[in-house]
Amino acid sequence: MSITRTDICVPTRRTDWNNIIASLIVIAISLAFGYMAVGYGIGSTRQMGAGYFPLALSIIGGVLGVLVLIRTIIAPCPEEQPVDLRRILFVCAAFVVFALGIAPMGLFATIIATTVVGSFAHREARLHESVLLGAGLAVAIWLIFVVLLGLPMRVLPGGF
Amino acid sequence: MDILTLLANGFATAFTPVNLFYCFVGVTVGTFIGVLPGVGAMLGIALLLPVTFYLPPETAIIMLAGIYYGGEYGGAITSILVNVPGSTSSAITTLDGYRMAKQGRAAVALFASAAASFIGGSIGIILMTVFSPAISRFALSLNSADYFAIMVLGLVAGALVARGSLVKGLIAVVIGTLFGMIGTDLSTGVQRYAFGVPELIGGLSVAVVAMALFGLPEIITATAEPKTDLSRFSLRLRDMMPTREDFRRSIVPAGRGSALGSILGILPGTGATIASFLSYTAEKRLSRTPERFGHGAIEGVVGPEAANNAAAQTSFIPTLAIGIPGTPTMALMLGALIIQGIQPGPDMMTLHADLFWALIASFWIGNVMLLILNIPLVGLWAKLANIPYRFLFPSIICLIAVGVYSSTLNTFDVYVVLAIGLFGFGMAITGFEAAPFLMGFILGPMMEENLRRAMQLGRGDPAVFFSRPVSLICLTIVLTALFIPAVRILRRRFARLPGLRNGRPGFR
Repeated sequence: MSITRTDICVPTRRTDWNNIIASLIVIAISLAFGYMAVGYGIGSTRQMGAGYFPLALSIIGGVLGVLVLIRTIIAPCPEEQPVDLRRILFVCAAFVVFALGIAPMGLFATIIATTVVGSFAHREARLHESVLLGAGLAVAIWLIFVVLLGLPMRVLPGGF
Repeated sequence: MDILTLLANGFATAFTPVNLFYCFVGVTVGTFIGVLPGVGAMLGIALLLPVTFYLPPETAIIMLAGIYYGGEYGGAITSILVNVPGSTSSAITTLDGYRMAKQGRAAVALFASAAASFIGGSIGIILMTVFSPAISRFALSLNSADYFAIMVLGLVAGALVARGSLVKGLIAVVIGTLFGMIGTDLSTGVQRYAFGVPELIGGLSVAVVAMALFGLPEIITATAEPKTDLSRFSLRLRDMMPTREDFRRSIVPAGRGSALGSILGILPGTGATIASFLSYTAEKRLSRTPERFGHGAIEGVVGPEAANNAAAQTSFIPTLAIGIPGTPTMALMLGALIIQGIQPGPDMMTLHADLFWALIASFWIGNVMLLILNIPLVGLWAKLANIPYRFLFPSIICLIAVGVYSSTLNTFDVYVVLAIGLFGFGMAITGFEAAPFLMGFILGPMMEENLRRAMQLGRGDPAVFFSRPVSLICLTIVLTALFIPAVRILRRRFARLPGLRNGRPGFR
């Protein structure tokens, strides 16, 4: 909700792949949800089945998706959106490390590992700093979630 | 019982040590989140949602509300000292706030902003106290057709105010609503879109979706790292005193900002951010010296800051008294209450009156806490605005992961957060807003339920939506709001047809 971006742009001749893919995904989602909605039973307007409302939404979504697609093809205005692959990769890795580690390794080791991996999404990250930050976070999270809220979470590897 | 007795009871509840503690936690976290650029109140509330599962309902909502209005205080600090908005609703404050700071009047600007926030907040709370009971009595007369129409209005308004194109805003609402359909349909018992996965039968959790949409995309895309040399600014208490001239200039804009913010807070779709922008525009228009704006005019700080805080408070009115949130943040608040087993709405004022009045009382307590937190301790907060992203973002990742994991102790939700987060990142880079998505997600099941009931009452005849005044008015506004931009676009297309090569405006 900022005023920095406006609705209007000057169209260019370049193909706006971002928006084409986005509108295709919107259409695909609508088709998938709509197709499955039919299977849940539409019912009647008076006695709506489980599929009625999602089907109606899917139709609206699909139509709007087609609108965006047409508009993107007629008047493309691609925006430069630099995508930082390094960031995406490390952020994803951090979550996966957490999900894989939390049960066998316990809270402390997992938080430190997640922090270290997550911090390397930034090029300026330094290992010793990240380990220290992770240790601090681990203690804070342990205090809040385990000590204060009494969450039954494994803290150290192998035991509680 | 009259309002004062109820309020007195509310204070009795709010003043218990536990509630005081969590109110303090809420406003402190709120200020902190507000100060941090790129981290909004939404993420703050979402991050603390899992914590509230362990708290009684009134304590939970007191803390979450504190984050929200606390964020309105904190956002201004970053806007003034760093020239980067700490939160979107304080973005406009950078224009004159930062100028004042550069002119050596940082302390005055901060004091004025905190005082204006307090005034705006207070007026908002008074309005909420006075009007909520009456509005909830009125809401008792609404039926399911009205509810459905009001929700449609709220969602369309949410799509309208989103940046970027209206169509994309609407798509975000629709897809969000579809995601809200995942799980067991309460009236037919059918499992929808669950693919037999046990974790999906209960539906996606609000906390998971909110953390994913408001946490991950920000972490991946944030670029401009705030850096400012705070030693330039003198932030001692005695530097804060505004001059007599400042005071004279501020008093009317503060009142006007509060009034504007209060109204916009109640209306569906418009919240603190729009209130602050409109207040700035209004002050500049009405000023006898508009040329001072953008060059350190104190009115440009006071008006918007009063407006966003007033709106933050009054946006609770429709959420609690009618049960329909006007903004995404309020939708999240509603979600939090529903998790606690409390359905906001007219019944809440009778069934959970104690909770409502305790919340109002906590607003007063919280705003006084914020005044104390913000004026003498502002230097401390300013330092926090400079936390480098390489420390901030890994911390947020850990908090999201632990928060999500804590509510079910199941790593499935960690992968869900990641998946929705990546989806949200895709939305962010292609101009789809997360806020309307979340509103649709939370309101979706409620809309379906009300539509179903309205159609049963109307025996399948859609005329039921046009036979009642509230529903008729809401749907008329929706249709006009959708129709007018379409007409305008068509007319502009035709008007510009001959001049195709001269930069015909297209629409994203």
